[in-house]
Amino acid sequence: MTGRRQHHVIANTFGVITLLTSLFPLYWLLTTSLKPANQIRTTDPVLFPHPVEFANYQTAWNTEGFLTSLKNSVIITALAVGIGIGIAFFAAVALGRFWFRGRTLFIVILILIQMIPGEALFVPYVVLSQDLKIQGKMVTLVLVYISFVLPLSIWMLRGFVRAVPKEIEEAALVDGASRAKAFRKVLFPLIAPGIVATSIFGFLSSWNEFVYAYTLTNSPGQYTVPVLLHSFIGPRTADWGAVMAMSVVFTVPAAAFFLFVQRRAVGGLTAGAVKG
Amino acid sequence: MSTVATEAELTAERRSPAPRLPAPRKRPRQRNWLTIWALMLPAIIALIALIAVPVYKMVVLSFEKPNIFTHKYKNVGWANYKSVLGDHEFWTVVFKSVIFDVAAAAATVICGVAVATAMMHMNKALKLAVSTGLLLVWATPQFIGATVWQWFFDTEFGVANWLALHLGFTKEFQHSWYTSQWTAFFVVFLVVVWQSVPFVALAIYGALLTVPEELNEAAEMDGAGPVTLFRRVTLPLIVPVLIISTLLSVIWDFRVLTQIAFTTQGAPYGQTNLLGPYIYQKAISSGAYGVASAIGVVVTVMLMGLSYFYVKIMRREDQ
Amino acid sequence: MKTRHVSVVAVAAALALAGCSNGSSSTTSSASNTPTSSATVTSASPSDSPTASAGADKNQTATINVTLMKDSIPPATQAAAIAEMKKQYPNVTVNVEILSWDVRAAKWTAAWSAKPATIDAAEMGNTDVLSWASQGALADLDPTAFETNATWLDSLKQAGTFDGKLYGVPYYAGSRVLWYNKKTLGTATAPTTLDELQTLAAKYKTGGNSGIYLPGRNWYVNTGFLVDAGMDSIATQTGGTWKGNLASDAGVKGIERLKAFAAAVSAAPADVDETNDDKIFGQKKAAMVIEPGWWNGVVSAPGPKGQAFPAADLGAWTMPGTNGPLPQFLGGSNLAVAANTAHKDLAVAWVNVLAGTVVQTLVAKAGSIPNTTTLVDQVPAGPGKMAAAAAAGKGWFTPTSVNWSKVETANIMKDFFTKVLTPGTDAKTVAAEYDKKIEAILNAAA
Repeated sequence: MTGRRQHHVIANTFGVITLLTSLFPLYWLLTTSLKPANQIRTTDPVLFPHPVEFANYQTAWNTEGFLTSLKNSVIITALAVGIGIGIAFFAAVALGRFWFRGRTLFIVILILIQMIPGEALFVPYVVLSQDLKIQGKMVTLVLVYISFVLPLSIWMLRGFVRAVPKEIEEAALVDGASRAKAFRKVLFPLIAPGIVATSIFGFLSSWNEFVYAYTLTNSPGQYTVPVLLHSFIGPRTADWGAVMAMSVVFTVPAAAFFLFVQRRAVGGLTAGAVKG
Repeated sequence: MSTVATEAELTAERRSPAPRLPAPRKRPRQRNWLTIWALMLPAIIALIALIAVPVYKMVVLSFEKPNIFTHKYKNVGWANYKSVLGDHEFWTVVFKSVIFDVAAAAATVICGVAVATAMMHMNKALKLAVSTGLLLVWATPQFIGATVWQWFFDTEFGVANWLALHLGFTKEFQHSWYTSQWTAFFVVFLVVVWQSVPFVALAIYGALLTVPEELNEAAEMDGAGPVTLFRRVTLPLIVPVLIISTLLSVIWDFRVLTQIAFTTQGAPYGQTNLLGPYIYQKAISSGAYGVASAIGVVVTVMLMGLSYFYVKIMRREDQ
Repeated sequence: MKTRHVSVVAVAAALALAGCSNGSSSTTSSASNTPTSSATVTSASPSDSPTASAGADKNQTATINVTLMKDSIPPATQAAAIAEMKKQYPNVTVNVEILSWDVRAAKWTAAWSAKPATIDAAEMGNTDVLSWASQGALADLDPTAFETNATWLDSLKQAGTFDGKLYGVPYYAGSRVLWYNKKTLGTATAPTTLDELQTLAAKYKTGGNSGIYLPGRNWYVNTGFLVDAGMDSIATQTGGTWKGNLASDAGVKGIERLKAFAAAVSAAPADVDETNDDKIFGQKKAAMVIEPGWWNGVVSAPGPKGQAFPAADLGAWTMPGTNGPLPQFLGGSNLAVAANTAHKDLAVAWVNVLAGTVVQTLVAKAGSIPNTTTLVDQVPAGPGKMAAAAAAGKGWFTPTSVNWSKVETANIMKDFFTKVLTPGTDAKTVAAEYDKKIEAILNAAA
């Protein structure tokens, strides 16, 4: 059909434009990491680094604490997302599958939480971490990040739970499966893509966080990568090449992982929907 | 802070129809309650400990003039609220934040829907490239992304000025994007939209994928044009995701902080300091912890207005 | 471009680096006169520091957390300080964390509200001390506990004093000089007045290039022009009320002079700060810049990438004013101890090490101005020495109000210079407008 072909042309053109706008800043980020310092921030912008240098990556790699901070980021994020999503999943099942008094209220509260300006909670979090004597421990960050991840995760997962036709589950129940088993065998696999999508979301809000990571930790050994990156930026001595190199190293694996799980997730979701 | 919502909600609950998903027959109701509690309890505990308690602390602080170093807290009644509500600057900031918010959220959602819809029709390689690009943007640390954009619009080293010069738009090289409120906001706007589109686009793309192909085909066979097709078939199916993305965009874009901190830093003359930087300055840089908490409460209450719409939508959805 | 990297509140990023101090020799202050030469805090102790006076137990085992600022003393000096501390307290571990200027307030807020504080001692910009001391975040200290106290630079000592008590021990100072590209300027000789400099520099203002790169938001330099014209201070207090002086006759005269000077010699935008000085200078877009005495370490640092400006081509002159050197901002750093520290004795000992002769000699040798007049002659000849000399001349400091830091946080001074240097604005009107803003902040209840 010509109509369809036309669609494709428009879509493809639009896709190319999207690609260019989203990637140009990242191209700049990448090329900055490959430039010698005298080509970064010049009055005639250098569009193509020449020669391409990997010295910045060497600097990044040799930076004291780079691997430690990478490890800290991974551990803290994994814990926050793992625990947050775990708790959220159960609540989402309850909210998406049962009616009970206060259910709507609970969901509204989840939205309300999103509306509290995070900056205003800075001092309360600091004071509480002191009261609990956990200031300066990495567990504090995990707790703060769970508080970032949890409300939205419950909310998003609830949507995924609802999207699974209840008939599927009921069929399993009718077949004599126990409710727990129906959850595990039927519901869970169908929501798995949703869990992945939600996790990506939670992952990013913890992975990139800076202010709390900076203030609630006490020593360079506890730095996460954003904090380490920021420590390279001084008023007169910003080593942008190294900063950009580090953020490439920090970003690419995350994006690759997302890409991998996203394709799976989307595939799984459609499969579930169609087979249902 | 939720009294209003509570009442609204209770009425809503009362009016709600009977349980939507009755437990399978033959199972005592008793079991259901147990299951619900078991499933909800961890979340309830976590939300109370990690959010309700800090929020309570914020509310308490908003009535105090605290000295957090000497741990002396002086109750000042409504003084902080009076100073916030009576501050001309605060209302200016709120007004600007609302305008910016609406513009940025609208642009984000429109771009997001457009990108997602286009992705459905792209050829495979391009589709992969676009979704990779979106994920990369999303995964880039906010302040690094913002920094790169700031560089583009830099007065002395900016690619934007360089392009403008070489394309003949201007004769003068050093155009300053940050001396006018409008161009400065434009830069912040670009950064915010650039960073927010991936989430919306991917979420909607995910929703679009769940639209069974047969539906589209059936509709097409019935002779529906692309616009009708989108409106009648696609849109209704992605509405829930659309609502969620819109709501979240509105909420997040209301208090952008990093994107301003690493681009305009408020320039010119603090005019691009929206709510995020404004609260940060009060809460952290100038040590006005009580006032900052009061702002937090006021802003939360204002945003609660939004949740009214959400409740309405949810009720419709439930019925 | 606003300093891109800095965060919101950023503020006085340049602040500490800023600087300069009145290396002003001699004016030692009144109160504390007996230099205790011992490194520790032995018995010399008045009422306020009971812990410190206990004479820190040399063999105790403990860990203290301390912070220093980014781009402050060189790593070698820092290492020497740790070694010195180790020598005195073999079982004490000192954890050093380097803080970024832009987010320091958030860090200090979190650390000092804790009990015990999670940062025991910290380097602070000298304009920071007043505000944090007035909030009760810092411990007041006994001057006699510090080895070099008798000969401290007066400006740093004043900056560290609140309500008659010492909260910030002088650390080091810096001062700005006029750096030039020898290749560009050829045989030119040092200008001795602002007019001479203007004539010389104007020759090199061509196209987008500057004779002197004078960014509008470099308020530490720009305010010097106002002081040079006779303005006393940005604001003065009479009868408990602060009054801004920007729109005073002298202030306006200084602004006009600055506008004329900038227009003649500089192509720098009014809305840009000094962050890019090294790039502009390094890319030969400016023949001269005004930067601290240790700036050669920044612009010609032998990095791995060969971008360094050749040190041999780098020259420095004293920045001239109308009559004598241009008055310099008396900037620098102080050292403070947290009010809530659990290790006051050790924190004081650490501060004493940093402020003591061993470390200060290294500070001087690295080109900064040491905290004591007795070591100023250790500053190597050249730009460092020049800066020290300039600092010893007429200088200026920010108003001594506990609210001043809010003026800096809100970027009031930077905005003022951006606006007043934008062509077509009236000096007097803009100055009056900003006087009002400054007065509103300074006169508000703390």
